[in-house]
Amino acid sequence: MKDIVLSVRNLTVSFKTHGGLVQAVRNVSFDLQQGETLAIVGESGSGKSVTSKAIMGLLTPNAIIEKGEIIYNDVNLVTLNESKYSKYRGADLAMVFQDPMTSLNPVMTIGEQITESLMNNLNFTKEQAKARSLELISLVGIDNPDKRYKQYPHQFSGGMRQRIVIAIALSCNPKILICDEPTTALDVTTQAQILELIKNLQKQLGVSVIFITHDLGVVANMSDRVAVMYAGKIVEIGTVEDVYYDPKHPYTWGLLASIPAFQAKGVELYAIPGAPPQMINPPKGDAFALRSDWSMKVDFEYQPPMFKVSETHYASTWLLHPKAPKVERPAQLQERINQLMHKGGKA
Amino acid sequence: MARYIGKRVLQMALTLFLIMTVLFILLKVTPGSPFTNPRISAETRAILEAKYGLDKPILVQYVIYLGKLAQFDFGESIIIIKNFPVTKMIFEPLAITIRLGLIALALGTSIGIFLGALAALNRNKFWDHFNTIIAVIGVSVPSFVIATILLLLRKEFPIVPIIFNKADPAKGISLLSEIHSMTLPILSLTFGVVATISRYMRTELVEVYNSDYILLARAKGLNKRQVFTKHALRNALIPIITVMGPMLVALITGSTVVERFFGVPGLALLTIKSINVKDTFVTLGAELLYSAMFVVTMLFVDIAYGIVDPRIRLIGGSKND
Repeated sequence: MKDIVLSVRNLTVSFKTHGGLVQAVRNVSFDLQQGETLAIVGESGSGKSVTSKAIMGLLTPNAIIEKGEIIYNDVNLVTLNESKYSKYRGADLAMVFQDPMTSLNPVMTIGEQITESLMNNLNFTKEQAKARSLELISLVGIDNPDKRYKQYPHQFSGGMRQRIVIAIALSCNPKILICDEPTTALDVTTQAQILELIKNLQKQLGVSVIFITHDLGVVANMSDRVAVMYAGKIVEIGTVEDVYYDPKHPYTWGLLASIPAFQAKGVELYAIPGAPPQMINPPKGDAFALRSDWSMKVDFEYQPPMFKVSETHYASTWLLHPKAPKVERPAQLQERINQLMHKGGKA
Repeated sequence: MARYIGKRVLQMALTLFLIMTVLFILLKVTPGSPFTNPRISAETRAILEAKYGLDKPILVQYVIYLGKLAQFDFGESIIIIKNFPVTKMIFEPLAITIRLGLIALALGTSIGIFLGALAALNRNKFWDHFNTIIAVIGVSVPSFVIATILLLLRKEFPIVPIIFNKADPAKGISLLSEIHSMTLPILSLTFGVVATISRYMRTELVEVYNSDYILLARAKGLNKRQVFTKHALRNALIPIITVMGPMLVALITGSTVVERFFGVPGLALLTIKSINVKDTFVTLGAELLYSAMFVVTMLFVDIAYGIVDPRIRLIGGSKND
């Protein structure tokens, strides 16, 4: 077992709204291991971004952390006040945001925005910070660092800006890098380049990454482990192999079945029926029960606990209960898994 | 940049020329004459009009005036101070009006930015509501009502002078004591500025705080103070700078009521007087000066805008590279 750098325990986050309390994250627990990439996948509103913002301590003022702990270096970050938290940000925890077009300050040069972090967190002098910034600009694959250093964000393309944001995030050698859908706002070619960059930098620097996305294709490529979130809960967590080749939760089945595939020409693309529940009044039992073809009576009454599938693989569905009837994965999905495994085996 | 400014100056000259032409025609076609005093006989009037060239056709008068303007001669006063050059006559009141306007603007903007920031940082709390009340009063209550209230307050608490005290080194009256004597007119003008600026500031700052780059600044590990001074403030000030230019012009041209109310011998008082007695060249000179101030202020605002917002600067720059 590798060292655990971050441990999230029973995290529950709600938002105060006019309609009532929206339960965005419910009892989420996971560990982040040293040097690994943990992907958190889920659809919009599943709580993945809120989880990441909670770790960074960047939740909006109307958010309440109702319970839970976020343990980093034996410190429960949840209990910190703003000024203490800000000491962790940048230096230990760093984040790359979704939209590079808006995440850089339009009236500051790129150089100022990178050096600021270095001077603030590592007490670099101006000259040291500049030298390091130029290195970082090159490191994220941008040519002419001297020229780029003096330019403003609007002189950069979206992909370039995201590279700069990554440079800022990595500037102070953080232990944990959170990427919140870093490629969603980019076109597909740029997306591939940015993913490649994050992957390489992660290997090079040994930083642990939490990678938030709704794109399962990206996950397979990027991560070591996957956590699938639905309605504010982690419904399945395991290594990429566990979740892709041996998914246990009907929601994961649905997600995997809805990835378009080249071979499946002429076959209608699968879509999970229905819509996610309103989180002002979350369902009593399993939140996915209403949309699932495999739901049982118990699903509507009690929330399923995390069942252990293997040392690395856990899923939260009553189907894993010893008394539950044995069900098979949908045939179409099983076929695809077989194909994937076959391909994987060959490679 | 130099080419851009050069182009703008040419445009400004054209604008002023057009304004001058329209004003000249308007002033000439409106009925009345500087010599309407019943004690002036028809013969005397004819002689006087001939002396000042008022008997010539409008077009001829216009060409003569143009010729004078080309030499920076704004003509002479006919009535207010007989045969006195308008240029000299306007200078002193203008200085007073500009002083009044600039001080009110500086004071109002500083207080407005402070109150607006306070409101934005304490949303839906005391300072926010306080700011809203100030803004509603400041925008809806005209400056002469505020002037009246100030005057009443002054009656109860006679802590500031009430009579305008012109700076005059010969009499040992310093500029500072002149400004001191303008406290009430300055305050009456300041109120409206505070109202507008604080509203802008609050709205902008709230918007800036919702932006992703503030989130990134926080994610970098900057503390609250650093996020505010290094990231939020500068972005929020951009729109403030745009409203400051027109506001200064509005203060200078709009100080008429306040100047009359407190008897400040500014440009506005002179303009009104010259219109009343139909002292055409004084009116023309004053109005032209107002227009010139307006276009020059707008130029400065555009240049200042480019300085704080690199996006605008560089677009302007690349066009002229």
